[in-house]
Amino acid sequence: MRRIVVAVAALLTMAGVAAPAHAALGEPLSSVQSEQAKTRASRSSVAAASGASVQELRLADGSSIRQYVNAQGIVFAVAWSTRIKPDFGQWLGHHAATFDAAVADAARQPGLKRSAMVDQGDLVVQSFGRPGAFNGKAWLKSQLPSSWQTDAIR
Amino acid sequence: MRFADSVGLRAFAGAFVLAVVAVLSAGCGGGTTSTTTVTCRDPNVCVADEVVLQNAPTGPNTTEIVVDSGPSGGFVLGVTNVPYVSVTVCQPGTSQCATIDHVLLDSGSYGLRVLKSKVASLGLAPVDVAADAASGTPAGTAAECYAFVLGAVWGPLARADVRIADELAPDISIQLIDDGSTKSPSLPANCQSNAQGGLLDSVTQLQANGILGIGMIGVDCGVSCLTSAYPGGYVVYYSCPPSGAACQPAGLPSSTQVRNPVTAFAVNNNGTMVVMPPLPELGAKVARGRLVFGIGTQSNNQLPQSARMYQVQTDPFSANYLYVGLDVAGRAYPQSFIDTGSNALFFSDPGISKTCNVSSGGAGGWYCPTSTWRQSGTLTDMAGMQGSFDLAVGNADTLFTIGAAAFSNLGGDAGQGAETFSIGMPFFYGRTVFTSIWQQRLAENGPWYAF
Repeated sequence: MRRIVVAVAALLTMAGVAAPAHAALGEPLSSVQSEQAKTRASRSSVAAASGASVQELRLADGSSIRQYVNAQGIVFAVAWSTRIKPDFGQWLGHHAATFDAAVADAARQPGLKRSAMVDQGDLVVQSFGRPGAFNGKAWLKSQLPSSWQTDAIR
Repeated sequence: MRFADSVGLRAFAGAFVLAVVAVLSAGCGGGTTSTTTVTCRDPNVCVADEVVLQNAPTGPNTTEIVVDSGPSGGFVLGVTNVPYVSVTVCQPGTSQCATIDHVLLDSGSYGLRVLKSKVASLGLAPVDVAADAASGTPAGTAAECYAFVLGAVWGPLARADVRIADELAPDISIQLIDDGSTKSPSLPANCQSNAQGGLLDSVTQLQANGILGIGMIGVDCGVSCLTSAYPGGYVVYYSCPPSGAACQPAGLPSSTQVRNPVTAFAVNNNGTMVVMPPLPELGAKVARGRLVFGIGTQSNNQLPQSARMYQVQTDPFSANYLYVGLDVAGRAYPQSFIDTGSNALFFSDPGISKTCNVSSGGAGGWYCPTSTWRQSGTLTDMAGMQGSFDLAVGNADTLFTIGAAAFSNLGGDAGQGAETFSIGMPFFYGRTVFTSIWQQRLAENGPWYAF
């Protein structure tokens, strides 16, 4: 698959600098008002496979959250590697409730849960890790660009 | 066979019990032996009542690990492979203490968290948070929402002496898990949503009276929690004003964050060693092993010549941060970890049957292969060091039907395609596993596993 660099936006590395907008899974990237990033965070467009662009939020502690945007401008996937668990309400939008409901039984099994999986309707979520190292990805099947492999979401 | 049938079966079996006491050589060095007591309901179905590691490391820096059916007593379906220890919590500098049994031993988290009701009589002091005008954080006392992949615990921080074996962690921050029906301080909405699948706020939810996090890091959040603002993530620490107004996001210095108690011990503070007895194929109703504090600090915690060391990834900008790589049966799991908090081997291999009668064990259910799945796994560490070990997954329906609590061959699905392998409790039986703590003084510094 051809890898192309879509754009490299200015890095917003200083505290108090307004970061570009982010939208939740399934929403158009441009529909959300800009928000204020209160700590050192950078946001940039990075390399993406054909048919998609990627917006990455990178924090000083090494955390990164990537949003994959299709040709229609819709966020079709999110991938994360973070020290603190990403706020799924923010990143998955209304799909977070679907995720919560689907894992309620699993959460009540004894032992600590270090992985969770939902594959329900249009939504797939893989979430795993432990405190200090949370990883995973989520995508909407209907919004995947044609010929996209989900293992390219990372 | 459905579980409901097995209860009757076990009761029925009582009349036909054939008790056998066997002494097995564990072969884990130092002349260690383990004792197994076995009950057979017929000659073909034998389960160990109890497996005990004898004369495994003893001494003031050691304590017992028990894997049994949990704090509520009796058999609870699915309370399997949860390792418990006893922990004593004291008002700092006094002998006013409470000893808490069935605290879950977790090498995948950091810090002690106990049910608030278990230490209510001690009146432990809270952790103060100063007002911060820049961020809008009000003065108050600290509370925390500590999240796992599923579930989170909520409650205030407190200062306490923590005693385990003869070790003392003096005056450190611990978390009190609010197990009251009305939360005090009130539960923030952000924490409710952080607890994917539900808050862990009772013995029933936790199947433990607390969590003892002895993993590779010294404090439970570190630099990520020094300020209250953390874009894109859930809130960890809060300041709860004395007025009773809602708790607000807060930053905490590392000195008052919840601390891995091991790092506060006087000498044996650079890691741990977990020693568990080998188990029979069908498991045991109770397994007893040892938790040893320190690595290379005493005669009983020396790294054997035969042990291999696996460094986890230490670059926080790597997606593999705090992980090692594992390859099994032609599949790569670059984000793998060795973990007492995972009660099974959790990984994705669509070739293993998930057609089970028992309910889901985690992400995508338990594995139920028709015959035991056996593979060799190859670990690859940050520096390219490799080593192999054997893995087995039995049929979860068969295992749960037996009614045992400890299994060396329980497996569950981590979610199809997930590149992670939780090398959980099944791995620990019949092994001595070392887990070092980052930034503590070691012969070889860094966070690593060795076995």
